[in-house]
Amino acid sequence: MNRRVVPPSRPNCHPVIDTLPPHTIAGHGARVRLDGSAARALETGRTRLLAAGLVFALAFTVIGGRLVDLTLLSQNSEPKIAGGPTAPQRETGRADIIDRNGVLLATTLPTASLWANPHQVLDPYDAAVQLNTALPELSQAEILAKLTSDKGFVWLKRGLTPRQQYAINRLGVPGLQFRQEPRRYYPHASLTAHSVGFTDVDDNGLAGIERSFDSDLRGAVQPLALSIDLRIQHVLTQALADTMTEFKAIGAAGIVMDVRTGEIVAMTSLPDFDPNHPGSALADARFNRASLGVYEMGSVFKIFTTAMALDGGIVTLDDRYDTSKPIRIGRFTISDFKPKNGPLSVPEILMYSSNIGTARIAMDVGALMQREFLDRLGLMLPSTVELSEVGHPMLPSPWREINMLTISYGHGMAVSPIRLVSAVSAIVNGGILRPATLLRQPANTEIPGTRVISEQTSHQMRQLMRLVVTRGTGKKANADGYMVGGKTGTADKLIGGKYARDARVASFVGAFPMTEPRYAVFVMVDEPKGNASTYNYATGGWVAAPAVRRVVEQIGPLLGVEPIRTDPEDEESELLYVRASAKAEKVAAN
Amino acid sequence: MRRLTGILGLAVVAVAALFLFALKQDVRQMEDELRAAHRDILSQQEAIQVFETEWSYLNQPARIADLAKRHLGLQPISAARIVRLDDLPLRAPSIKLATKQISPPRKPDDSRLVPASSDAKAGSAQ
Repeated sequence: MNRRVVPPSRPNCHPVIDTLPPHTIAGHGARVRLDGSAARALETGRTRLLAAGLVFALAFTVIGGRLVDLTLLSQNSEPKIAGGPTAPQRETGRADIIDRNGVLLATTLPTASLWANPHQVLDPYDAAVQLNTALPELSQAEILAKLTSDKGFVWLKRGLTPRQQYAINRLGVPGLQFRQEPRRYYPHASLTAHSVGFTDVDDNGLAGIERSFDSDLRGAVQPLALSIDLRIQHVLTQALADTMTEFKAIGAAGIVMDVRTGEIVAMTSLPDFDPNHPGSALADARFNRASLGVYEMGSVFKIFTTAMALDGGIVTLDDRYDTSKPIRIGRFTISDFKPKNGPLSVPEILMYSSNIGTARIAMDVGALMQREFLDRLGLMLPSTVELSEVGHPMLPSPWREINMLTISYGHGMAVSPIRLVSAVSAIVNGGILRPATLLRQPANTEIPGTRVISEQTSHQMRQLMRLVVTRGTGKKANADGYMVGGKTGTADKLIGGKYARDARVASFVGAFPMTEPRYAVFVMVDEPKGNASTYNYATGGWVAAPAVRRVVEQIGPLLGVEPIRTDPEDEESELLYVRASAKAEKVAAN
Repeated sequence: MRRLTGILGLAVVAVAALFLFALKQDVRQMEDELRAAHRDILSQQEAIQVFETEWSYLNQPARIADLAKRHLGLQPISAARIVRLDDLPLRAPSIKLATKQISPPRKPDDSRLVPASSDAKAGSAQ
């Protein structure tokens, strides 16, 4: 800054110097008035000091102001309560699985595992004797061998229960230590084994929901709610187990499905296993017959044949077919289990489960339409249910005429029970096919689906299926008050490429109440043997239908299905009622 | 005067430091308590989880069904026992209600149950 080139500052300079108190120069003790160049230098220094001081003062003012602002004045963004660390969440590494009512099906518990440092155990003999009292499953010799080994670390027992841990703590044996390890635990053991599945020791899901939702369960806190209702599951399992014992069967499977949502309320496959000890289970027990197994379903397929013929307008309920003579095609003969004389009407063919009649209906329908219809019902593809254990259907290739005829009554094509129940649900629920699911769906929401048959056909099918139970082969499924409708099925098993005469699958698929179906029930018994009480019959009507009746009678009240009181005389005239109403509907349709 | 200001300033600083130290100690102690409380919460949560699992285990439907059968004499409801309120006949006003004590069902062979003469309350306490 050169003052000489800035004239206006000059006049200001001199008065300042004059009026200011004279500078004291240390050491001289006298006041010296500076003038000229020295005064100017001093003046420059003072100005610079002032400028710097101003800058600092400004900075301190800002800091001070901010300090006051932060400490004394409250701010909106500031929380009123000081935030400390929030309460910790229990981290198990894997979310629980619960049923639709919140009952715990799978959980992860911190379990203590017992280990020892043999060098620190003072008296191994005494320790072994004492430990044996708390853990009787470990022998004294076994414990002693471990405690006298030369290692610094030996596992004694992993996954102790809290009670065992307490007992061991009470012993007060020195040198024993616990280590916390999370462990998956299934309180209901075998009851939900096939749907929930199980994990390995490292918490990897190996089967069921544990496998298909492995990544979702990891790290999640919210439990996963299944569509399973444990009470219904118990009723179904109990009925199947009793039936298996009664008929000395090798296996059984059952499904209860909500026909409006596709939710699987219960799913059982017997024999089952304990998911807490999956390693000790036989392969047959781990096999999920309800979703992974595919079976030729036999006569229950007649539901689909009848539905496709009615829906396509190929037949009416009044049409009759001659069933007196077996059909011969090539080397095959299609005959009836219990032949009826004379021409049978379409309802009668289903009621008495006539193979000949159904095959004749299929002839009128044609292979192309049959295939297209079964495809529409989803029977040509594996189920989309949330399990990795889903069976691929076995289909004939090519689809010849003989295949068309046998498939019409359920032979020559194998599907999984879960697909069958989905398809039957669609037939009875007004014609909407919804995917089967094991997850609880939000209440009162419309689950999207695809229309497979018309409402009118669905109505007719409900009447026909009710007729099967009131007058036909499924009488033993008639649970009083619950208006069960359904269809029996008995299929000879294919063993080594040939149909075995004495190995069969007896099944019944139905729904209730037929006035407005809520739940579909399926029961299948693998290789039942007839006994004296069934006159040595081991058919669907004798084996599976009574099981369905027992299931429906017990689950009806649990599911809140209101019983319907019917007049016995009305039931008697139901056949006529079906005909009459069908006619009325036809008139209405025209 | 300047000296007094200096001493006063020092005193204020000393008091403030002391106060701050005490406050910090307090906070540290409270943090320790909080940590202990959190540890406690965690162990309680674990205990709750164990109890919930045990509760679920004890509620196995098969076990409940067996207990109900042995001790309560209950059986599944048949459809005939469910009626609508509208279907119930209206009570005739002239008929006097029988004042009969309703006692829970008991099995005659179960010796642990109280004799039939005692009232319903004692029976249900079994």
